[in-house]
Amino acid sequence: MESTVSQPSFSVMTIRVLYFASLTDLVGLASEVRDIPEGSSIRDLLEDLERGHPLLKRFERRFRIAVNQSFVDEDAVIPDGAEVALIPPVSGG
Amino acid sequence: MEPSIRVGLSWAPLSVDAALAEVRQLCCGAIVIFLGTVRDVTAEMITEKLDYSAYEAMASKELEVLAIEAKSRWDLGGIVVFHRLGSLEPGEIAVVVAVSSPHRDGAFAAARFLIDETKHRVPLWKKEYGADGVAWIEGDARVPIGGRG
Repeated sequence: MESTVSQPSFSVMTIRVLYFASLTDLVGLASEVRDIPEGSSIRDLLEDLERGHPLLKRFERRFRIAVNQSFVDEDAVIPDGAEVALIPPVSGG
Repeated sequence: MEPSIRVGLSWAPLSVDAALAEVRQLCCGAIVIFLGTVRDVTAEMITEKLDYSAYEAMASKELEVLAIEAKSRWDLGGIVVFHRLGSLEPGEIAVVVAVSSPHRDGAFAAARFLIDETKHRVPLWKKEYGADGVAWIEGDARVPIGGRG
């Protein structure tokens, strides 16, 4: 049996990020598919998104985050295949 | 009493008659219907139209959650909450809330709860088109869209 040298996991997972309201104008997208390291938290993802979309920093994270349609905080770990939504303050009604 | 719940989003104009028919039950003498309509003036600015959009899958789920919460808090026969999507002109109905209950205390309280929570919690946004341009409304903030309108 071959022995394999243990390596740090560079597993990547694919998620979809959804933008709403003025975020769509700031980022220029309604949604995007993104590959992120397995085990990433929301905080990790936001840092990654702000690097990729510098204008996003202007929003100063005044949005809530939902993963698969439930609100989460920045510590939440993102599951593979997740739908992550950035939700600015709402204005229905 | 198991209340009937019908909630959701609609691209088509909302019908008050349909909402009433949905909640009307012989058990429930008190029926309260709330309509949110588009105002023509806000903060001295004239509105030409409002465009409503949503995180649709989550908004539908959240409306269900609100209805279930209302059901657990008050004695209700029927619950309807429907919110428009798309462009609306002043006067058009943006949201209908209808509830029925054996007594008016529960009907008024549940209707108030449903519209208040719809406005606070459901991922819906309005984009305001006025004489001086287009802006997203995000909570208390007005976020103008540059170079358009």
